[in-house]
Amino acid sequence: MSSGAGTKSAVVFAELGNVLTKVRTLPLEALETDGLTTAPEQHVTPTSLYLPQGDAAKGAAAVLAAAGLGDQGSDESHRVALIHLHGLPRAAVIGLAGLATTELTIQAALRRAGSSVVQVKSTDPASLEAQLIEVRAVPLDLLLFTGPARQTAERLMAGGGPRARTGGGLLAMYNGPQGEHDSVEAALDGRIPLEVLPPMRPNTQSIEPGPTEEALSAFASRILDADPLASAWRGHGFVVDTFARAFTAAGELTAAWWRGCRQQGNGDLSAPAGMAAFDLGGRYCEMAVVGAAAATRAVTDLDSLELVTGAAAGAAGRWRGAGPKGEAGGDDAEAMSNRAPLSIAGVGRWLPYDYTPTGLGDTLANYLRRPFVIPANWQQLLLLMALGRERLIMTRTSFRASPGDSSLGGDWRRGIGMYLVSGGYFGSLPGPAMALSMAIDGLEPVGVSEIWCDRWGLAPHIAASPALDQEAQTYLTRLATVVAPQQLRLDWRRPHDDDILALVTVEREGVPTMSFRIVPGSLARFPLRQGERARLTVHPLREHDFGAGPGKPWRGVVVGGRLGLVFDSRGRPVALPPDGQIRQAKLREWLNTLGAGQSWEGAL
Amino acid sequence: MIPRVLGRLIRREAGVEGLRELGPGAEIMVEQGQAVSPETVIGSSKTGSRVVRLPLNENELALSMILKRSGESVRRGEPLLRRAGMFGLANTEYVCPVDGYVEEILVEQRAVLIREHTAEVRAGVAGLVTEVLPERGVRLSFDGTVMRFLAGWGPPVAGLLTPGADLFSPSDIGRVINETHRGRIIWAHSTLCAEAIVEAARVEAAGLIAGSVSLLELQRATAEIRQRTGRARLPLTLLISEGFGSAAMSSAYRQYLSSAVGRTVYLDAAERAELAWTSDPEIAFSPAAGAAAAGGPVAAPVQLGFELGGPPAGTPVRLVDLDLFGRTGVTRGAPAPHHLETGVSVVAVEVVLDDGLPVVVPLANLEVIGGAELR
Repeated sequence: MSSGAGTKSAVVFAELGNVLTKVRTLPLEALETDGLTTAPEQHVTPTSLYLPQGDAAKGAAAVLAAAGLGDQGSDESHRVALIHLHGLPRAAVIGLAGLATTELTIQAALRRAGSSVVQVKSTDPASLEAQLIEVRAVPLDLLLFTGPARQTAERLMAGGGPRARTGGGLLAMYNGPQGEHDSVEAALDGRIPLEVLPPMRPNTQSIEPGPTEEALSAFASRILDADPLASAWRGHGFVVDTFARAFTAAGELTAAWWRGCRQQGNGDLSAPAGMAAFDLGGRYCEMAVVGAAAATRAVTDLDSLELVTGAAAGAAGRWRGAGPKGEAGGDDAEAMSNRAPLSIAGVGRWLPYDYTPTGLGDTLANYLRRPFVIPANWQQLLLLMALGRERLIMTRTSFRASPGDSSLGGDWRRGIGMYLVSGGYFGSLPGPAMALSMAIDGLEPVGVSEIWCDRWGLAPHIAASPALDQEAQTYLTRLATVVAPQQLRLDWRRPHDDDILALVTVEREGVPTMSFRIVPGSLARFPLRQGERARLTVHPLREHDFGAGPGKPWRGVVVGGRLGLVFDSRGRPVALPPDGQIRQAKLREWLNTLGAGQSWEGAL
Repeated sequence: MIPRVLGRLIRREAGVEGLRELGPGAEIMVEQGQAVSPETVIGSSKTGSRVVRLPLNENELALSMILKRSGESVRRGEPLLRRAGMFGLANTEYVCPVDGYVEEILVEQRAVLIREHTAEVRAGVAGLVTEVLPERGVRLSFDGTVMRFLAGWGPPVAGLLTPGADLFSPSDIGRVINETHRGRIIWAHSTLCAEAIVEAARVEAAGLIAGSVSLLELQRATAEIRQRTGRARLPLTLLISEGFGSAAMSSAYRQYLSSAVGRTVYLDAAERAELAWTSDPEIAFSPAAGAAAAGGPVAAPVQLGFELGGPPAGTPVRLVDLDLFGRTGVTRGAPAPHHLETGVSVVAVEVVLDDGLPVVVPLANLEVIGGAELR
């Protein structure tokens, strides 16, 4: 990695997460050489280190002291700190009917600014108060009215009004029909200042989101500037940004790098140009998808997983960000409620050992009370991997590609050639095979795509650091190229062992061509060396589709990853045998196929 | 990994600081410096207010003209339902008993749920108001006991604590819980069965405290309550001390709670916490009149400042390891690098559990009990 780094000799990446606060230190030369071969020096503590005070600043001070970073910034290192904390700014969008075009555009702009958003539908009086209870329950930065929702504003204020997240107070914005903001302003009664934005629809024929997006972006920066936690990090010489914004920027940078990657070497890579990034943290699972258009973000919150009860899920349960309205229609809330909530059985189906629902439920519920614990044995590790798979599935299925991005039409996964996974769940796994197993099962890629891992979560930090070279991605681990048929449905009640799914031919330079068959229900690995290119031909039988169309052979160039080339014929969604013993045997078999015992040593 | 500092699980001392957060827009009814008793109303909250249920029979609901829709505001004395009499004469009006709004009209349950705009909050302890946080809450200083629980649900409540009982067997529930428990805090020695939660809700107990509860039992109770009342949330405050499962309440907790039986205790489920796991629920109560404010087995504060090297030998800890969740013990030896069976390298320390069992635990999987202040 070349640098515009000047005389600095090290980089310090800090992350104030919802569960853990981390400081990682790396010599700059480790990033400048081709490949990150040394693990960063890391100091970690639960974000709220000292429970009686519940103060995140204490945790930050402790890790900084442990890292020897003192009270003031140093000229010796580049310092970047990213803050999660529930999305920032945290906004409630209050509309009339919910998710009209104006609201969708505003929500998209908010999410690009790193915000988490809750939508209030004023025209739904039956649930209005329940919606407002949620709005009051969580401290806010911004109320954004997209219409003259007087009654909602009155009710919100009558119930005590929303809480401001920071001492700087709360701001309300109005972006609705011109000249109709008076009723909202009167309802807010001067207790919350109202700023009237230029209307997004100056007339019925056109939409002009630019001024609104600029205003929201400026507001997000203003909130971050005023945040006392951010100020504390700045006092230690850190460049501070929100994790969400940096994560989205990292997705766009990585996507650009990936597009360049596909055109290097002897023969272009044939995987699609789209890129999807997933960060699976202790509290939130973030994703960003970059097709031909700008990145689209989605988030799910572990608190929202209705594991315990509606009562236990907590008022913050519906706080989430999600992509804009999908082609199939329906709004964010519906999209989320249509998916099956996290369940004990859902997590248990991924466990390759016997469990009782009572015991598993209690263990999961205890884990959710202390989400920073480290899995101390294989059973615990497999349990958290099962939870991770379910969380990835829920996040992925909540995502709706931007309607304006034609490259991701239909099933957006067909346009994705690179998946990048990161976050605490992946970083704490003992080896690349476990990471790949969780990624494949949770992401369920289709066609031909590569799965990469950012084990130390460096990409968002580098994207947020203007002084570092953001072009090279040498710190990423290419786990494998995965080949999976699109729309394969498996029924385990019928034996498929005699059926052939496809014939595969792998041509490599200096090595005899190899041909073999893949069968439904299998997970197979071909030992293509890391970085080695091969010409791959997949001849599907019947009407199976590997990306070239039903029944048509797929031909292209692929590159081997740390775990080579993986053929996943287990169906989409992954079909798990209904019989418990057979399912467990299959899960163990698939883990063994990927080489679950491998460590990260030399994985880069 | 720098382990988390939990603080002492039980504090019994003079001058305990307690925050009574009433939520935004709350009306505070006490002044700084004012002495309060457990029954003193310190303010009215606009969130977490109680639900008033209007029981109606099937015919009444069918024949009534419902004047309000779900979500609409209503004032005390305002007509809510009107039933036409014979030939339109002698109409009967049902007036709203409180200021609030119509939360739900439950046809099957033949009820209209009205949520009050305000709910009174009592101090729960005898002490002194040290600070008034306008429109938010008050800070109290009191002599008494504070016990840290592991998980809780529901709004803060205060009520008389009933004697401890076993509530794990459905066959005992009808005998143990009855109408006399209305507005009281029911105490279960060990784990709870779903029937106990449902019955406590039925008799309108204010709260329920237990050693543990199984997730499935909690789910079953919530489903049952939802079916009966249409309410998605538990209509009482529930606190557990040891975690999810079937563990009995620890003997120290039982010993301290025994001394509070028959007196008012204050339950705070800490649901307002920004992050659910960063704040633990608490129970607080004052000593009986005439009893010493402080005393009893107060654990010596741990000398902190160990961030760099980990907790020293002899530090009391609680384990949050998934297999040993909630167990307590004392560290033996210094933290050292350790290879887990998964191949991951961590810093771990040996802990001798209260029953004498030695285990090696990653620092991330334990919480330090004790300590007054971090450096």
